[in-house]
Amino acid sequence: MLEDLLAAAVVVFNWQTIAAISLGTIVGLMIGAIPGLSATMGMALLSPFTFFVGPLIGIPFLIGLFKGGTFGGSVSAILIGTPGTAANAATLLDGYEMRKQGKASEALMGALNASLVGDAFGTVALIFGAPALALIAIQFGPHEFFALVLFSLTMICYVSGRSLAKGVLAASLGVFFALIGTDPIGGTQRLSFGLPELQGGLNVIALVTGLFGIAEVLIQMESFGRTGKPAADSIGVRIAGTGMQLGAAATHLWTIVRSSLVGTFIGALPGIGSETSPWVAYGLAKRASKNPEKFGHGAFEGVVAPEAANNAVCAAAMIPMLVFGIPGDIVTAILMSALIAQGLQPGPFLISEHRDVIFGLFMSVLFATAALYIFGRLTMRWWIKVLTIPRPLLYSIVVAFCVVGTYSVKSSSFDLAVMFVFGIVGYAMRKLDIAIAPMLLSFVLAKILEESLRRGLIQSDGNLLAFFERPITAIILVLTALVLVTFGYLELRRRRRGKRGGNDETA
Amino acid sequence: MKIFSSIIGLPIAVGMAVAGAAINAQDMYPDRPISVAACYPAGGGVDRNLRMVERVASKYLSQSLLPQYRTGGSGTVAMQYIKDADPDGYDLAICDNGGAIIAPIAQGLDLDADDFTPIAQVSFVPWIMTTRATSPYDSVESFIAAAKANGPIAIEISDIATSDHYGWLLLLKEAGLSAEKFKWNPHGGGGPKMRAIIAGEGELLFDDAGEIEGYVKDGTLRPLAVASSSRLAQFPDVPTMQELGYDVIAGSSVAIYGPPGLSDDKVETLQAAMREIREDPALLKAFELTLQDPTTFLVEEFEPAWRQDWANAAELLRAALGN
Repeated sequence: MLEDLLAAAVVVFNWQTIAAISLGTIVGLMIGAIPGLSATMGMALLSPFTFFVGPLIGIPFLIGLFKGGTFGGSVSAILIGTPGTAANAATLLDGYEMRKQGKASEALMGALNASLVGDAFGTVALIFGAPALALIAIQFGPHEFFALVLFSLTMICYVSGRSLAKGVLAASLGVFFALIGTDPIGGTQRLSFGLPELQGGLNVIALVTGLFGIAEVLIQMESFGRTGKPAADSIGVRIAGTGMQLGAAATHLWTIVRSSLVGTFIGALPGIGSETSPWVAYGLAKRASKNPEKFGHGAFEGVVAPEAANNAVCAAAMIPMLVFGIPGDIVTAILMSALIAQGLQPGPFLISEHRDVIFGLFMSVLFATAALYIFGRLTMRWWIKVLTIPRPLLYSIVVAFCVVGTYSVKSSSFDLAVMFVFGIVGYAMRKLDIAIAPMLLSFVLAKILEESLRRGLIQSDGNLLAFFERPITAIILVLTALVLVTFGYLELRRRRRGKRGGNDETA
Repeated sequence: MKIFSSIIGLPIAVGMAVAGAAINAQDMYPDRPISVAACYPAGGGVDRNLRMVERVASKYLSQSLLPQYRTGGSGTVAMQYIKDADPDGYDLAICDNGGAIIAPIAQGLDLDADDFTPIAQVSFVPWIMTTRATSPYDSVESFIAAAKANGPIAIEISDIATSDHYGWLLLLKEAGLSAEKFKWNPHGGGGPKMRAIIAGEGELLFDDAGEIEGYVKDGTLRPLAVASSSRLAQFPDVPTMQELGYDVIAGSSVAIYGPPGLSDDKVETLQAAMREIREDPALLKAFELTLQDPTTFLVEEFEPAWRQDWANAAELLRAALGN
């Protein structure tokens, strides 16, 4: 194993591979940082070019792009309140608050350090634990997915902001919007009003860009008349030394490690990693925190937890694809397609028959982790400069990027309409102090929840007990109940105390 | 791609339009790039086929192909788009039979074979009827005998009314079996379907050679028959269904379509180019790497098969869906 890795390191340590990883990482950072443009799309567009270069040039390039893009999304989440991708929406909750408090560089460095640790965890799991993790992942059928998604939905408790009732309202709206489109099993149309554009459901990129990006621009526009000045609250903020930053990250080491484990484990299950794990990591971090009331108001842990988790997904998501030939999402499907185009068919013999290429690939995944840190660090000062742009200009650029990014997903002007409508929805929710996160979380998860429940029921002939007879499902369902009960208990106790102290609404 | 292609493509297109007008005022088809709408997102099998053709097409068409992505509706968005497109020869679509035939029927869309002009089938990958090696079925006959004799047999499919479900229905029709004899487990995709098989939750499926090859070699799966007209190079010992007496040809067919009413000479121009493209060494090399069979690249031979598929699929799937 180790000899293989060392041999592979020698093979991969050539200028073409290193250049490919570096270029991929830089392109990924840029694409990820632009709202609406995601690493997924960048990979899809650029993957055909990898068909015509060697496997250890093209595929490392794509992996660099994936990792760079996943971190890059946090840059725009923190700096302009618009997540670059859906995977970075959880980072926004506290990252953007930190930036408003003038702590943009701390947030960015925290995100980068956490991404580094998460990424390293996922990569080590890929290299050393792939067969074992794949064996667990393969046990996850519709029943298990249903339980896991249900568990993830309980995180609504932790992202609802001040009012749980409003959070549940937002989550219900999210479920409602998720229902629009084609029924995942029978294929009947729901709430699409005969519009062909609605048959595929609402585009998640349009929804995210609208709810966060356009809504944020509207909020900012309110004060344009009064101050035409730059986003001045962070000018003059210098990037603190690496030592100090690592120190800050070290005090939250356990949060980062826990989140990396969450990202690695959920990431190894086909399909739901990048959208689920940041929220689970965020919720668990808040639950374990000594100062949960700080979350949503610029808590450092609220930035590092989701960022560690979403970068851990990058490498872990490749496990079921490489070991079983089962891609879980578009990203792994693209990587699989790129591998097949090189004559490398994923499946049980991939690793044993193409040992040198696959270990070269593993090594380049490891190199990409280093590249992510180096280029993330080097480009940091430029990102911060974004905040010196006068706000009317900055937010005009944001609108332009939102439009271009959303349009480019499907070349659909209908999606642009969806984006602007959700921009207004997001604005209204902000004004009414309704948290947006639960809506996005339930929008993303409701589809998987419905589909896995119904498929599970079809397979077990309508028997609901099947969900408890399968051991993994039963364990996750019990955990779900525990989270709900303890949250309810703590919430009740907090309110009682609040009543006694007479300051119910301050938490 | 939109961004890149408009930045790069616009000046080129303008330049070509001006040059074309100056040199030749008559209609020389094609005198500008032809856009090809892919029905699934970039990065998948349809896109891979499109890119392989696109890469060599300009050599034989005097113009390039411009990939576009009109995705959604399980592929039907691109097909609807091409049905309504101007038949000037500058709009084509590429899709598999799942999006071009099966999904339109499953969704009850008002489409049929006459709504498109088939240009060429780029590739065809047949289904292989496969079981877990531990299952009692060691041949197609033993499976059919078991189905006739006793109760419902569970079959794992991607989804109700998908291309593999259609393949099964063709086989059952040939064998004179009613679809009621089976329990169809829909998994929502080829990946989840394969997962259920490997995890031992199901034992019968249709999948392609690339997906099952490793599992056949490691002894997990056993291929029973191939739904194509000839045996596959990877599995020379596995008979075709036709050899066994069941006239079943089914699989994933990626093809290029034009709008209805595309003029005969334009179709001929495109098809002449396709005949040269399928001989191109770069294309053949790409086919070899991706284990695609270049003899399945069909030009004028494609249309009859396409019409036959429409007729069969419409009958079988409407019955299966109960409408």
